[in-house]
Amino acid sequence: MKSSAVHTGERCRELAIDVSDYLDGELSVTRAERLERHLAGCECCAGFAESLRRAIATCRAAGRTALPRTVQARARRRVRELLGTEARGRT
Amino acid sequence: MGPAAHSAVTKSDSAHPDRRGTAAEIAGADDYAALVRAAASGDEAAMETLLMRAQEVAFRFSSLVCGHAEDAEDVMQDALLRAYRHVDRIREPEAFRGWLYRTVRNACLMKRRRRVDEPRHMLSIDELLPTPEGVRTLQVPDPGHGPEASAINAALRQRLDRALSALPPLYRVVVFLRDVEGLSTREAAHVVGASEATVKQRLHRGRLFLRKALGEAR
Repeated sequence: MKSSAVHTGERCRELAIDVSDYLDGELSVTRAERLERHLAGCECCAGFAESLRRAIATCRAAGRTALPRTVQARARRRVRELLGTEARGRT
Repeated sequence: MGPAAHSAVTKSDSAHPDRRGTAAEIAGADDYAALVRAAASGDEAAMETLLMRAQEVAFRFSSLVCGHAEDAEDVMQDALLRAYRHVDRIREPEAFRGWLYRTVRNACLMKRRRRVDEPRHMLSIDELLPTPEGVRTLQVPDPGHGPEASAINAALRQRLDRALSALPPLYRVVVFLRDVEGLSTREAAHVVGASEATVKQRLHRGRLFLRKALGEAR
């Protein structure tokens, strides 16, 4: 059960640096367990971690859109011209 | 949240539009290595795919990191030619992806004639940490398919563009490499020429800033 108390003191600041590594699955087991215990009892830090996770999700969802159609067409044409030129050069 | 963090991230990954083929394909270092081997052995389709990917990376880097879409075509052309020449010479195909991002980064730097990753200012960590009244919950809609999904994607993309452009370049490039492009910490460190510890620190600070910028954009 979460405490309703919100604390943004030294402990929160000390653990905040671990949140990114935790979300990336790169935190050691010991430190992950320590962070999880803290998050379970600190609504402020739990909300912070959730909002960080959503910011990362936004990057992943929105960042890798396909090339605009006209740009993609020019890119494809450049590739085919390059490969065609090289192929002709070899014969 | 706590223990749910890892599973929540995994769930988001599975909902990524890339996995459904609606956006640029996610390509890991192994995918690139396989393409490089095939292309080097004369597989034209593999070469074409590889060269398209090189240009896609260049376009995204130009527009999201450098913030100058007008440079994108030049950087794409440069990436295309360099990737084509590099395929026959590379000894470690697994290193191709890292090489590609580093090459594109350098091309962008040359194009702008100044370092993109010099910080305009260092962020104060105190500005970005949680406060009792400052916790915001960002809504990240599932993009899905169809025209409505395209509109959601476009809106999300605009928010991300604004948030990334507000990020100091030092952090922007690391957030781009890790969170948009999915490079490992090690690969990102190679691309920016910094230690893995430095990359982790920049990533965390960049994410803090991004979180704030995305929250304010609502």
